[in-house]
Amino acid sequence: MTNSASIESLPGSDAHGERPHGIFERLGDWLNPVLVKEVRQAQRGRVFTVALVATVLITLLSCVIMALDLSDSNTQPGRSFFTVVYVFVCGAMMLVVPFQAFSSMGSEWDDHTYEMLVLSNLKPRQIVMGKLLAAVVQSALLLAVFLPFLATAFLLRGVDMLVLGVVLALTAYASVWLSTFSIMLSAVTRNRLLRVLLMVMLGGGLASLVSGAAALAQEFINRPDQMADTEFWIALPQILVVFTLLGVLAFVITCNLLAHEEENRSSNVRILGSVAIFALLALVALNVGLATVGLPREGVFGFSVVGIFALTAVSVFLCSEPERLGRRVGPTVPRRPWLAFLTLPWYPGGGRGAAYLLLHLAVLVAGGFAIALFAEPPSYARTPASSSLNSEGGAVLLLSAVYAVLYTLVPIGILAMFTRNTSGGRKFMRTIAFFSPFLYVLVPAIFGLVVGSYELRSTRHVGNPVRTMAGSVSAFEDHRDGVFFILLPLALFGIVLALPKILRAVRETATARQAVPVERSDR
Amino acid sequence: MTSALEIRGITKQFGPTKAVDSVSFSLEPGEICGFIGPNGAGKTTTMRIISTLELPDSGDVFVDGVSVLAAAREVRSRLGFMPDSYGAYGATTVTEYLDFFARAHGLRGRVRSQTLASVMDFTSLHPLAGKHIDALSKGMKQRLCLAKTLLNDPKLLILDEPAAGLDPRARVELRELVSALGDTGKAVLLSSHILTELAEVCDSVAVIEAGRLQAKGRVDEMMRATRAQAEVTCRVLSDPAAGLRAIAEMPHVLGARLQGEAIVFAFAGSDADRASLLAELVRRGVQPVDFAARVTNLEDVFLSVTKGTLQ
Repeated sequence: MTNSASIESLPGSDAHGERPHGIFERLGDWLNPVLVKEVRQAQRGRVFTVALVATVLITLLSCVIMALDLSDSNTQPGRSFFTVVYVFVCGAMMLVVPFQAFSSMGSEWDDHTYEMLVLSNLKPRQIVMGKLLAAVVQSALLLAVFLPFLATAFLLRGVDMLVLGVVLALTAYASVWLSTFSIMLSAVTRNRLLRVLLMVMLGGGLASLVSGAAALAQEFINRPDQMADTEFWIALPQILVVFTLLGVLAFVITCNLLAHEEENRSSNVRILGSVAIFALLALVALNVGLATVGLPREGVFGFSVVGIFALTAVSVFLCSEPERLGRRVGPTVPRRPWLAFLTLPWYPGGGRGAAYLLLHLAVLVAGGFAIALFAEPPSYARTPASSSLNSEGGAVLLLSAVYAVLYTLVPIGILAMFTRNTSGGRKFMRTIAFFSPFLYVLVPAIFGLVVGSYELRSTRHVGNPVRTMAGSVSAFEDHRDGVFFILLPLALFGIVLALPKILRAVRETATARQAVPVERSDR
Repeated sequence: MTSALEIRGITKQFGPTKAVDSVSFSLEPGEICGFIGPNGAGKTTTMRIISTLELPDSGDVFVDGVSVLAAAREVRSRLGFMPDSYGAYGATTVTEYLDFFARAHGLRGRVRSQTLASVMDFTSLHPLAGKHIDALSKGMKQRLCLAKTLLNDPKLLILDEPAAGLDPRARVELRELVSALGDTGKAVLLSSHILTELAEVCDSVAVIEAGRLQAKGRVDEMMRATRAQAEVTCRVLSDPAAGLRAIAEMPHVLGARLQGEAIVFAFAGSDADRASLLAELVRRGVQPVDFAARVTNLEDVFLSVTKGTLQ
């Protein structure tokens, strides 16, 4: 956009600002504007500077105290030194940085600056990315400040270089991931009181994560052989893939929360969900392959189950979206009937959300079974372990899909009959749906208390997914009657409840497809 | 020539309340239009719809020929919106603040620095370039916000209550800035409760009440139309009761009454009719001492057009 010509026509315009632009300034032009603003604000603001200086001083002081306290018998003082320093590194990167990201997003609401950002033509994606990049810069800065301390720990002996590198890389990753999550949390509500509540919860959660991460790092430092294990290097990338997918999902959800309510705030989450499900199926395939050559079996169908429950959580939102497509989204429906029908589950709306959930559950279950079938060893090589792996996996997959329907379509379908399709009504539906897993576990348990049933009271019933699945075929067999006579009929009831919504969504999509497109210009 | 703004039958409902109801009007380039109406009339909602912050339930708005419904981002690049309550970033100087929004509008390199300089010159913010925003007065903050809205060289400016809370000097300065913007060919839609000030700066006014547009036209034409029912006060040297009888018999005179020594009446005729009335009174020997029609202002226009409906 070049506006200079007309701006120069403003009264009072002259040639001020004519100064040569160096390479750094030219590069700076391409930086995210929000990042530039955030860094400038942090530079001038007191919070970051004070936190940084205070952390460094306390770290320095702690190191001095520790050095004075070291006994001559300690042959690897680097380990003790690292443990002390890492607590502060971890605190700064996994507590201060995400907290700062949370406040930064929150201040856009509190200072009434968000609408100005929207009007300045920045896309929500650019705004969130700017905030996230600012967190990355802060993390990098903190890491740079702590590097001399960490180098000292290494020089004092006892700290393995590989372990040190992996721990620091994972800490930096966690810092960025937690910042993404914090930004999303801050974008959830514009209500200041609710945000304070979320902030307290976030603070508590981050503090416990810091202590957990510090303990884990200490474990790795003291037993560096753990990192030499093949299992570690098989598990780590897979865990990172899952967390990265979740991080991207949090990013996309934040962008949607910031977008105008009439914009399409759903399709990108749905597309990402589809991509994530195929990625998880790929991980399942990988793990089935690894399990058949003798590597641990824990992760085999774990990813499928994780995928189904992540899909369930997202579907609670998708199935309770407003039904209508809206004036901006409607005209974007493809005009070819077959294409409109095929893309229907990826368009916004509660009915289309239900279609999306059912389609993806089918894909996950079918994909899981296909992988199991494909990985079935030939009859001559079959062992009891390999066949039980496949039958267990199949049972667990099917049950996960049934639970997904129970936790989404049943509560939302029932509540839709009694609540109005307003923002408040939808929030109520979502809250109840999120609590429904607990209700499925607790209500029979309370009933068990009343009738004196030990099985129900101790949550050994089909409402408890952990009990039912328990990772073994025998557990499934224990609850066979409950699964066939309670879970399956309930799940079918949920699907029946969703069918009218899905049909309405199909009709609306067909109508939107035929609608006259909005004219972009009156010229 | 494409209108700078064309509103086509927009309607917006919040729950049971129709905030905007079938509003249509247009603004030509360079036109400064006052947007007036009682509190809750639908001014801010209309302005937010034009600015793409709200979507109309029906109808559409075209800014420089581009639809807010179909191409919101293109519209945003063609308009500048100054809301009634806007935020400012803490720990930021005037230059940094404007630089950030210039970057956000995609201005780069020399173009950005030239644009910043022009806009700061225009709004006389150069002396405050390095000052922290938190330390600015309300008037200076308004200037800064106006400067921000000018960064993308908008064809249309939407100013929602820009003079609210300003001292008299700052109001005069803002008025001058708005007039100068009109001279550069930018259309300005300006809402304010200070109607006397609007009359001085606006070419036209649009009056809205209970979500419906009551009138839209040039300020002078609307005043002339209102003056057709001007209130006239006449004091006579002779017996006021006789004077009242004489006036009441005259054409175009409505509701003549005595108010102390003066005769007050509504006059529905033209300026020429009023001159004839005065001549006739003199001819009949009524001997008028004072004969004054109250000067019509935008407040009269507003009061004659609106009904005081609440919603």
